[in-house]
Amino acid sequence: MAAPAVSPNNVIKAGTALAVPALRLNWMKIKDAHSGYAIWSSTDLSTAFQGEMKVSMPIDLLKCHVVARELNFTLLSPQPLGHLRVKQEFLVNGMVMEEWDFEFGFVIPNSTNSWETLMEGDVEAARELDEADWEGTEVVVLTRFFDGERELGTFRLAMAYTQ
Amino acid sequence: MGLLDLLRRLRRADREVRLLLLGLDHAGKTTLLKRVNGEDYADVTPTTGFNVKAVQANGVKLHVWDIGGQAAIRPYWRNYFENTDVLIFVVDATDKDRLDEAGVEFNQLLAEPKLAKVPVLVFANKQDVPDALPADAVATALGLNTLRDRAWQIQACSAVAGTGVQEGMEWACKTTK
Repeated sequence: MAAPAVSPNNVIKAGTALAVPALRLNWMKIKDAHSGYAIWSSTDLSTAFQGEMKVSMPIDLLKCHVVARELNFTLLSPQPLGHLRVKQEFLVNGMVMEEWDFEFGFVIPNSTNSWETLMEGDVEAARELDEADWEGTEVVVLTRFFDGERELGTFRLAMAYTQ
Repeated sequence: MGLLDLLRRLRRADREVRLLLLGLDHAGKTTLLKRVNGEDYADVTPTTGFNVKAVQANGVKLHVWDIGGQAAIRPYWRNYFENTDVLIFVVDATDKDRLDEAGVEFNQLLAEPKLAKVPVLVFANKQDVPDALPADAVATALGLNTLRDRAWQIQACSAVAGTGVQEGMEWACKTTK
């Protein structure tokens, strides 16, 4: 099977068909892990593999001791995936502050699935910045999906903190 | 209570703990997981794949897997057995018509080599409903009292009302080897 066409920055080009089987992103939520309250939730992400999504994030997010990120996705295939895994990076001004590797393994055909991560005590250095420093800072959550070694797609969420 | 609080109860030596939630469709697995995680459960729909929560603090990881329970996808459960530390089986204690079916699925799970000796927690869920079977009746239907090859626990609970959930999850964390 041909590998998906990938642009130099690893974002699948708009209009490029993904190699079958394909994943569709449905939505993402960013939550205060202690209250369960959703600070931000996305609209439909079904085209998110085609590039970057830019969003404004309430600066209150920085006051949360633990932030949870939940991503919901669907496998659009009558065939299962055998070795789904993700690499997620949290980048501040291009610097990796936090990294998650997660192995899902098997994915049921035509299934909708969710993945939530909670991490405590991360991004300590970032927290030392005061709120003023955060305005204008580029924060990116980069989520790359693989089946084994084969890349299925990359979702780039670029966040700007605003008052 | 939250997943982070549960994580703190794990022994320091447990670097990575995997809890697997199974049970028939409509048993309340996803609602229970949301309850544990302090989330709103109003928008829960039948799970067709998995919901996984990954929590990490102080180098210890807790992974909780909730797999859909519809008959058509139960044959895929076996793909999620590997490295399970505690099996959590959720039963709808109000669904008396399907208690036998739950018992058959449960005993098939216990016979799986990859789940051999894995401690098992059974939640007799939906105790907020007046005619729910008590926990001991669910235990008898599942044959728990005859289990000799592993640690087990039956816990009456209501994922919706929040009762019994914490007690069960604390047992699960305590029993991880």
